Amino acid sequence: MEARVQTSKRERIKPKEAMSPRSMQDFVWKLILTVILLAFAISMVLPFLWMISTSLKKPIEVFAYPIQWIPHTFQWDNYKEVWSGPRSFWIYYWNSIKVTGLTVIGTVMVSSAAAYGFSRIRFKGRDTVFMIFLATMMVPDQVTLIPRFILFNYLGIYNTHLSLIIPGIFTAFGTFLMRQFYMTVPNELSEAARMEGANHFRIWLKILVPLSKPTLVSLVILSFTWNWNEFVNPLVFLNKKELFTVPLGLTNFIDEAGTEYSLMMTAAVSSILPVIVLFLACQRWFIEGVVSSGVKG
Amino acid sequence: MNYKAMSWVLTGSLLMAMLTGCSGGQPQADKGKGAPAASPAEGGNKPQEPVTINFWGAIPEESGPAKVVENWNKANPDIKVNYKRFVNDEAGNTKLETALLANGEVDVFISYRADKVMKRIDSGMAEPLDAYIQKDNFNVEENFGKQSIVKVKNQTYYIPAIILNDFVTLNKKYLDDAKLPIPKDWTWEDYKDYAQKLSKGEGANKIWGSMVGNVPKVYEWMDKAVKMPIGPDAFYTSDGKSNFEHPAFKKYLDDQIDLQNKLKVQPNFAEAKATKMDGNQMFLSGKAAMFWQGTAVLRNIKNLKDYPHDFVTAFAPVPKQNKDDKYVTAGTGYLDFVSINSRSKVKDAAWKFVKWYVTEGNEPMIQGGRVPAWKKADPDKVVSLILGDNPEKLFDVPSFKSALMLDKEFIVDTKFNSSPEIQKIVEEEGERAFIGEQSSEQAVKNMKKRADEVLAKNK
Amino acid sequence: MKLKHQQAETLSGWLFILPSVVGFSILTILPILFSMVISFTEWNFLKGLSGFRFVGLGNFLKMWSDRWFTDSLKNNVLFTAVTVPFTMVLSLLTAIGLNRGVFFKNPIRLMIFMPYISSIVAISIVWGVLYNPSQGPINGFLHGIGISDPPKWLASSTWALPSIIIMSIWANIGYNMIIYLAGLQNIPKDLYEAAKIDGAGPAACFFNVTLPMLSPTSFFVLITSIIHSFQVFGAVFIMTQGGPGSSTSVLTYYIYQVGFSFYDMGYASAMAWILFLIILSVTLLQWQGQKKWVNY
Repeated sequence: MEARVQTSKRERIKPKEAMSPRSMQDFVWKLILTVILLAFAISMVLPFLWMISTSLKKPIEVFAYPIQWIPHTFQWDNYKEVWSGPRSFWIYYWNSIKVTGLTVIGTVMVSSAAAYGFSRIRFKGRDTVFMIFLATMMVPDQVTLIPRFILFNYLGIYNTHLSLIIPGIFTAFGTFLMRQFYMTVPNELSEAARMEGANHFRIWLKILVPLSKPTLVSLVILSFTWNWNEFVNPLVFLNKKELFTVPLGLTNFIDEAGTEYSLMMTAAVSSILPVIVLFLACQRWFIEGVVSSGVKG
Repeated sequence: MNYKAMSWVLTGSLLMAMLTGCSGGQPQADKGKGAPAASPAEGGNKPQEPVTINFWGAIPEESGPAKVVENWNKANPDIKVNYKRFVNDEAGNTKLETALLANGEVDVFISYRADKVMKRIDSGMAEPLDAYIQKDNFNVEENFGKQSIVKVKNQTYYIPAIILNDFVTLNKKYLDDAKLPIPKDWTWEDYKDYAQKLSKGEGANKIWGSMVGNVPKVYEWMDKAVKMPIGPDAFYTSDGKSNFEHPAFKKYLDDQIDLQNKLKVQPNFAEAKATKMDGNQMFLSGKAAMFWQGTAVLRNIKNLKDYPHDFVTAFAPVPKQNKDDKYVTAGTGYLDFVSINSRSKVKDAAWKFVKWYVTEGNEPMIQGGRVPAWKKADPDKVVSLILGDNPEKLFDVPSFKSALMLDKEFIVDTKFNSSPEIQKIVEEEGERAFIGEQSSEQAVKNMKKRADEVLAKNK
Repeated sequence: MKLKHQQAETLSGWLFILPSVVGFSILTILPILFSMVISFTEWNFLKGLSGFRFVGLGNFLKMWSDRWFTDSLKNNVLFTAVTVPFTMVLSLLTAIGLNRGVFFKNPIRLMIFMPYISSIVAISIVWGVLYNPSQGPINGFLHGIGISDPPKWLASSTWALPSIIIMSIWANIGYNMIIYLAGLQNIPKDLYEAAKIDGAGPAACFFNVTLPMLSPTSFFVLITSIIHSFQVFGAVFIMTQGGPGSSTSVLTYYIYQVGFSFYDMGYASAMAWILFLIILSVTLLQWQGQKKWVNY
């Protein structure tokens, strides 16, 4: 906490300092770096700008070439149609929030616990089991789709949200990510706690979990994003319209006469807002590192 | 290592055996060969417990199906129909196919491609309908025409609900400006001539003379074009090989290459593909004078809110390759193949619905351009439903009527050997010819060689 | 006493990983084993579980004379070999740049993450326009600097794969950046201060503190990037569908086609298992190699 206050103070003061040659040089470097990264970053929002611009167009204008970034007339009705029309988006939104939220919470808990087991405790068979976990990421989903369908059907979770949530919780990715961080935490920390009589559960919950906040946050952002955008699994495992998630809702705008890109992009822009909000809410963890002098190498 | 691998395989097979055992209760296609079994729903004795039928199709609900289902449910309180929509692309078809395997998810389904319906029949997904047809004295030939159904092992597995139309739409204003008549019977040479005369401008303001398809594809349009000189099963010879040696294939590629690269009156294939150029939009915004698409364009022509335009659309048949080509209908033909899932538990009720849907039931689909295959539908009513309230303002009605080809005989394919593989080959070799990486001659040679290999392998 | 302690450790170890092990065994490993069994059969999944025909090693033998398979495999290897290092270096540099010394940190960070959450359709349309051979800005620029015959990008068998590679690198930077940013936060600040006191300049700090301390993160990024890039699908599916010719065909796309449009799930599974073995051996190599450069 203290360390954080210090850093931010230091940062604020810096530019105000008198222009010594050293800080002048820093300033120029910073400026150059900013320009480079900004140019890079601007290219990266182009698709999103195209989405916004398309979402406000009439279908007939969408593919005018060269790209018309500013619509002829703004079709705010598109938003009205997506949100309150016959193909209203609310239900998909709610389903996505439910499915993604539960999956992310589950992933974070299960991955973090497993990662602790895989990194902080030595026991026989540990690394073999971990390798098998990793190996599961290497089999392409395309060939496990039908087996999973058969299995889920047999387990009775086909056509329910559980068919997305339960498998979504168990990701080798999350376990691996957390394990890599736990491996770096010096042993002295947990040894000290052990001396005081703490068991593994307490060490995990009270020491490692708080320490791993930046990593946990990146896991939250990434797993939220890919669960939110997941298309094939909900497509195959859900048939009831009441259960559909946002990516399935987007297919409402495709038919044999082509794709209604303007409405689809209206829905797509709406659909990535939660991800942006989550990102903004989480990003303070990237700025304010929680690692302070407590951890020493 | 060996031991380990062995034990993995063994565990796997055990698990599989377990799964197989557990799902053994599913009703299979071969059970009773579709003899109508007595179902509790029959006769409507128990109106308090309606049977539910899950009906799967690819048309968005608001373009007809919602109304169809509403009409049915109003008239049949004992059989409740639920419409479920899938998107007719690869992923959407996979969704349908897995759902077909699950119990109770699908009772009636529509296939939108002939090769797909054949594959589903082969795999035992569709229930034979002959017993039901006989029982009800339902005369398929009289109701839908002699060639409406391709039988498999002498059994009927589907009934076509519609005729999908294949035609070229033309911007009448541009035709008039160029003093060109609406073509009635034309060849690709005439088409190229039209396209040249209708092209105008340069760069961003260019008006293209011609657009082929909503999104650039090779196989789909080649398939339709070569039907005119060759007829049914154009891709196969009678001895089970591929037919790419027939000059029609090379001619199609040459005509396309002329339009795109030599005359530059049609957007270049690769550029159109990369920029996701949309044919509907190009045509309706007046940036393309002629557009070969067919049925799918009709709904958008009427949609002035999304596609505001002030010209009249005229219609022409697909051009022939030679003046004396035997066939005239190109890709126009039966579609929306309605089948009953062989795993359905409510087949009698499903049949009742199917019979109604393929005859009078699909009327609400007509306004979306889907012409009923049912012979007893009144053609004038069909035309007026398709054209909507304000036909003269948007459509050239006489040319539309003749483009429907209601009185012509359609070309019906019966062979689909390795069709998805052949489609992939045509797509690859054709595209390379279009972008100038190989000659059309080389392309058809490669198609022939590769397709023959696949056909020999999959025999 | 020692033994008892070890037993207790083993027990608690298993307790921690138990939820994962159970979940994985049922939901992930079962289907994977299933697909392994399928790979020795000919199976059209439409026929349900009754339609298997055992073909032994047939599927594994025939793929080497299947041009679609060999082309896709080549493309996969090239794709991975180029995208992984470039993405890693660029995302690391971006993360470091953002972590210190830039104005507008917050907006830039979000902007760089945007491709990862934007609609892939939008991305492919924008890049399709950028790559447009005759009117696109990229070739406009190349013309401008005097290149008279610039590549035709997506419209050329030679350049289509590089086009997709460039786009994928661009799109994946934000994703790896997130992981690197977290890794950077985990480096104790005292280490930098200690290094500074020892008189280390920025470059020395980077090579002696940042890089070694980030090595577990880099290892993670390396392994997951290799896995993901061998399984690239979306970009190809939306942009080129494997064309022109089969110049951008990749294995997952071909596997998908074979399983779901050619209805040969046995063959699809066999190819998937070969892909699996390739990824696994690359990973195992890295796993052995990590001792040399990863600091835990």
